[in-house]
Amino acid sequence: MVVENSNFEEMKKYIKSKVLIIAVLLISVGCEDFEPNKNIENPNLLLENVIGSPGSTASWIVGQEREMAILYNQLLTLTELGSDNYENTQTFYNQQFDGLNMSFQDTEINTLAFRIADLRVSGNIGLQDIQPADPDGTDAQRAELLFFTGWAKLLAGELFVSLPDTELPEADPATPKSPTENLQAAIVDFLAAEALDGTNAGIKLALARAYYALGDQTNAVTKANEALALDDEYVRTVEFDGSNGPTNTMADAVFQRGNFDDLQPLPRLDFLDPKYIVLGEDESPIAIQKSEEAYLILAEAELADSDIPGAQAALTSLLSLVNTRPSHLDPGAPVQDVTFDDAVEGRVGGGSIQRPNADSVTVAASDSDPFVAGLVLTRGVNPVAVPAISGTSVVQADIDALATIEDALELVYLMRQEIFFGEGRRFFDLGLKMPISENEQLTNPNVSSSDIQSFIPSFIPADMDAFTIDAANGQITITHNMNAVIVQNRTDNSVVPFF
Amino acid sequence: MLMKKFFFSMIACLLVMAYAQAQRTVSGRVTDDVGEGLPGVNVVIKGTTTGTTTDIDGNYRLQVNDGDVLVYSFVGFEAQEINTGTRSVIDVTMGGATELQEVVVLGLGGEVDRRKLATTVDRVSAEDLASTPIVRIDQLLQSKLPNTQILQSTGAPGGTSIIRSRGVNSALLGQQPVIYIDGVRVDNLNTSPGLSAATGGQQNSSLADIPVDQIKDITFLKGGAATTLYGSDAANGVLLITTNKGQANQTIVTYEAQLGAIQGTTDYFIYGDLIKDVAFKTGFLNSHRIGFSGGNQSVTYNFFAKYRDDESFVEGLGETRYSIGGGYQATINDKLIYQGSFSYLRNEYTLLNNANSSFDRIFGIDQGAIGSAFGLSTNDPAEWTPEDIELTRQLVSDVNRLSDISNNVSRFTNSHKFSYSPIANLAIDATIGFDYRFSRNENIQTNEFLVAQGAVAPGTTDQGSISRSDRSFLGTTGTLSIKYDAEINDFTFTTIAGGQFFRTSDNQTQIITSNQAETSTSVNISAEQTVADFQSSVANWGFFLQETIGFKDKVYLDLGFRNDRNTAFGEDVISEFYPKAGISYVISEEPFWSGASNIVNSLKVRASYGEAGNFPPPFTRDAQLNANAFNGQLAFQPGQPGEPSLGPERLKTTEFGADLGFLSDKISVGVTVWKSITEDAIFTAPYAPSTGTENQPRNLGEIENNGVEITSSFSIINNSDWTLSFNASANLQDNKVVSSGGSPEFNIGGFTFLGPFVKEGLPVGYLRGSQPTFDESGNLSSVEQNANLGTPIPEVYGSLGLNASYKKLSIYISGDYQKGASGVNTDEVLRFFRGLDDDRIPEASKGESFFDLAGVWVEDTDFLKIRNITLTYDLSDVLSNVALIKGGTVSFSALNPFNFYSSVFDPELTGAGARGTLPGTNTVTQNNVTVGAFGYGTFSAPRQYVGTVRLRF
Repeated sequence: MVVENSNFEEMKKYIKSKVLIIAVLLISVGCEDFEPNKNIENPNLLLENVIGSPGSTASWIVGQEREMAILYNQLLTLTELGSDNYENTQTFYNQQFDGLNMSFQDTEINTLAFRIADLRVSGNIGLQDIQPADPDGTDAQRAELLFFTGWAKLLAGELFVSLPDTELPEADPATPKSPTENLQAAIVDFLAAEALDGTNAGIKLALARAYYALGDQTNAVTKANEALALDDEYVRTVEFDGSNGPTNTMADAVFQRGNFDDLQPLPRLDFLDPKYIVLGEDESPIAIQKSEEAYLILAEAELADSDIPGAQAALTSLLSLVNTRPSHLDPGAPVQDVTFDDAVEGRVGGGSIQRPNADSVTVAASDSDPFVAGLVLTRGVNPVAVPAISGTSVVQADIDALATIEDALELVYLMRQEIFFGEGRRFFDLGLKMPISENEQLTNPNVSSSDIQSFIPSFIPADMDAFTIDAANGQITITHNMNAVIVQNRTDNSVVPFF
Repeated sequence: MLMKKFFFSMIACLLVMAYAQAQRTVSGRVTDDVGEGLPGVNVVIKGTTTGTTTDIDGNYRLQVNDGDVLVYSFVGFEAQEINTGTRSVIDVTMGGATELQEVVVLGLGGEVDRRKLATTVDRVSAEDLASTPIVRIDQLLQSKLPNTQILQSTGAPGGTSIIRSRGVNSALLGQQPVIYIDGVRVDNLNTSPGLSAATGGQQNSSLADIPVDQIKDITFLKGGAATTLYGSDAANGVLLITTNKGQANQTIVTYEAQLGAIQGTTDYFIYGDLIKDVAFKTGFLNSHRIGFSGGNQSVTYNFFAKYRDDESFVEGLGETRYSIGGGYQATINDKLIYQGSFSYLRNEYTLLNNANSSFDRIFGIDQGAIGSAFGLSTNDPAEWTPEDIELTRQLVSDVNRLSDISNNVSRFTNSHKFSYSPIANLAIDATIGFDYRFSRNENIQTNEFLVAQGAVAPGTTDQGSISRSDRSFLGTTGTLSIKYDAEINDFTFTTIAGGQFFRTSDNQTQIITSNQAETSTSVNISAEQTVADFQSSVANWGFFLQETIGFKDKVYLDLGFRNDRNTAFGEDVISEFYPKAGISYVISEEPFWSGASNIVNSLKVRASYGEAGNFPPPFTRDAQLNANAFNGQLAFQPGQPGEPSLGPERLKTTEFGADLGFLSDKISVGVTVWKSITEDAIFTAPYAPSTGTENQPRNLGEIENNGVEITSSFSIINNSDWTLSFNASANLQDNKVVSSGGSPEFNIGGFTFLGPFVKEGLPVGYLRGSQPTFDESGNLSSVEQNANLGTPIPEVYGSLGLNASYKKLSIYISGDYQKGASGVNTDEVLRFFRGLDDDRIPEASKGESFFDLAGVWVEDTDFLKIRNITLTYDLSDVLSNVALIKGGTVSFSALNPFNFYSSVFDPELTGAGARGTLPGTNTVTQNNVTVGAFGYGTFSAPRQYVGTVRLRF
């Protein structure tokens, strides 16, 4: 009994001490002062803080411009490599596109699709939440936001087999849209923008481009003419920020070739490379719209109507415009460098070795084309006048000599290639389309098996970048004259929209 | 502020309640089982905090009342209780320091005998640390923690490491444990900060300057069941550092000098001899430390000051450290003890441009990057002429001499602990302290430098720049805990309850200038400055309760929980509850075991289940906009969409194990089978790209790790002249992403064409890339896209150690190994680009895209590395006749002397960083998970030959 009593006392003491412990705990936990979360605040910007604030739309549009820079950094290396413009010799940029291996598992395709969607979705937030609530918001700003959403849809239509335009929240992903549907959706946005800002040549050009891609010759010609009427030297660029970024990836790829960065142009386009340069903090912008495009649309439309003189007239105007565009040496250049000799590229070799680096080299567009001089430049010796906006090897005599639709159309496509060089346009001209990416397929039940297949027209060879070298004679022969290939297949639905 | 008030009032309370009373003196000597005096043994009157510690010879002296019971405890030995009766001299032999009787420090879990533990706990003593002349906590522990793998990402100063125990439990967060010094949580960022100067390969770590000069004891609790009391912060384990507070009754002055030579290792280079010739030097290391310790029964102290200069092995690399620190203990009365410690460390180190920088001139030799572009006859070093070699030597010298990349760190850490014991068996501890760390990371590129590197034209005067990143970190920690011991018949109860909070704030600013005036280091003197900042702060507070119930001192039941709140949780998460339960049973003390005890003298079995968390990065729960400067304007873009239900990753660990002692503990073996599931693993998995929505960290996934840990030690000889023992461990592990929550796989580093990915059914960070197949003629016959090329997580790893002594001479050898992991030989990819590749790609396929060839560059990364060989001679006899000197040792160490490895590159290095932005987002982060396995970019750990003299005055 004694033992039990002692046990009982011990137990009582033990329980008492527990009560004490729990009391202290409750006091300490219950005391709000114990909660040291005061002043832990997110220093970042929240959406609700921005909606309704004066000037928010202006900052939103700057954000859209920045998004365009990021988007084009992703778009250009892929589309240029996926064409005959550039070849990837040994870089960490995409290597599959050179061989036209455009797998839905390629994460870069996923990134591009994401970037296009990001431009559209953030444009929609601007239209739905930001601009209406901004006391400083204007119609012109609304038109600008519509331009961006339309641009996202335009790129989706031009570059992808199909692409959905899911709206947030993401719980209900959209059904993939065909190129036609995406282009039509782009036109809806551009027309809405045009209604708000009718004197904007850029919106007219965007409409012309979208109608062109759809093969709608009448509307394309109308908008091309309206654009030229408003401004026949129009250029819209994507800008970069050398201090804060994003910097120009394509400039990095074609100009600042470090150890890894080495995109090599097709030798017949050597004189156009590098279109983008970096000088200190200054980064070349990338033109995404130019009046040249209107003339090219008009020329193609004239040829579709079998009007060679009409085409010649458009091409003549085009050539005179191109000839006014600056090189990197000129005062009007986006980034002027009067001593530009392109030594920084550090091109390996000279003469006619694999990387041609001498103006003595002549180039033939194929083994049935003549060797042409002046297409390859000598770098690192004297200043070289590489075009900064548009350039072409075509001269007036070439235009004047046009006699057949085929020749004229090949010249149009050569000029499209040269003028749009480095701007990511050739991919569309070749009729190529990227597939929907694996991440979309895995998260979107509406994606079908055909959506994840790339589209390559049967007449497009995988070795578009191939050429042979005759070192002894300093001659290069390109394996495929892709402009001729396009013209030969002009009635195919995938190329030459007006034919 | 209010929290501090709370603690100060608590302390004031304790002081008021304390009182003193008259007593008599007892003295004696505490020795080990071979009669050597044991310094630092705690001698405490049972049920009070009154006590002292033994001096260098093991002597002590203490005021007691008749009948008081003295408790003699020393980490590593069995505690003893002796009733003083009326005796005035009590000599004690601390014997039988068996594994099971060892006392281990568990931080919030108190100090307990190992026999009571239901989990494994690793302990490293000051003596173990003394054998290694290293000043970094992670390198110090490399090969000393039997179940933890520590990989040095670089051999240059200040770099990061990869620390892994029990697999990789997160696909988002760094795997390093949280670190407490005397109860205060310290900055343990082991990736580059959100903002820092890029060096093209190396990242800087806060672990590089954790103070290590006054460590008394380190305990490592592996994440899960052992760390439940640490709650939302403990999934990777908790490293507890206890500092030395001095010993009573004898003033000791110590002086330690180290002199050494440092040589870069050429083991992993193809052209190692050449690189050694043109780039490496033998650097000089010198270090001086002076220490004072002593005290009386009431107050003890331990202070030190240290200077260390490391010239490193390449011109331009180097490190200088200055540190002072101290620890002290004041017995205010028989109920109240105050313990404090502080440390200040200044660490200045310089770095070079690593391989992934256009200013690298060393790694480029091996990669074929130094060639005609630099005026050499060829990029193949095997063909270099003497002129080429001289030119390269000049290139290396130019870039290293003119480069100016520095990191300067100041760090102040302190801790204050009040222990109050108002009545027998009740102890209240209150701890508060902070860790403040400021670092400045600067890369100055002058025009002279840029011109010399050919980056700009000769004569350029306007391209100089400074990139400066400042980071200040402040972490405060406060803990209040109450411990109560009770004994009822055959039952013992130990109850620990308490509350803990910590708060960290991390503020970073980066300034980058352009057209910086030459020779000026002020950012004001430049044409343009761009600025960025990074702010991150978090507070966590919670309370915990632990009950350990013992039955007949053989069976122990361990129950507990922690409840946490954290500002990083989403608004839908109110608090998180982490439970634990464990049992241990010392079978060998049952009567029925006596027949077997000659062979198996001890056997303990244990089982436990417990949970711990890993809280998400601050503010990732919030929907936010990205706002950036863009061409002089403010640009708004949608950012992460937010996740209001974002909570911690929850690690649930189950383990079963047995600890065995054979032949009177001559052989000790521990076996643990464990399994851990990370529920609510935070994945930054992508949304459908068509949503245009940035990745948002979400609690999407589930990761499983399981394995077997085997530790063993063998004491082969132990007599008065000779000792010989060794230890070895093996850790088998398997890692798998059990569920990705329906999300697609995503990349966590590396390259696009070949990188670590997270995918359901495969290990975290499995290496994904194309796997080529070649036909008989060497043509590429097929390519498997996105193939599983291997895992960076080894199937087995472990450590090895050997201790031997003959009289006054002893030798210590340690090493570690791994097997069954893979890594990417990035250098060979670059050699392939430049035509210097080996024969892994058939001639016929050398023109193929390297994207398609990715698999050929993935290699097995098995290795065995000997980290340390140290010979020590005890000079006590030699010095016994020298005036003033009481003793000393001299030792010689060879660090990183031998490397055995299966890959063509150093499997430990990694250039695959964990810094920058969250995958697929613009969110700047730090502390991202790194799986390593990209052998590239920076230097391997150098060989060091260090002589150390320690004298005691």
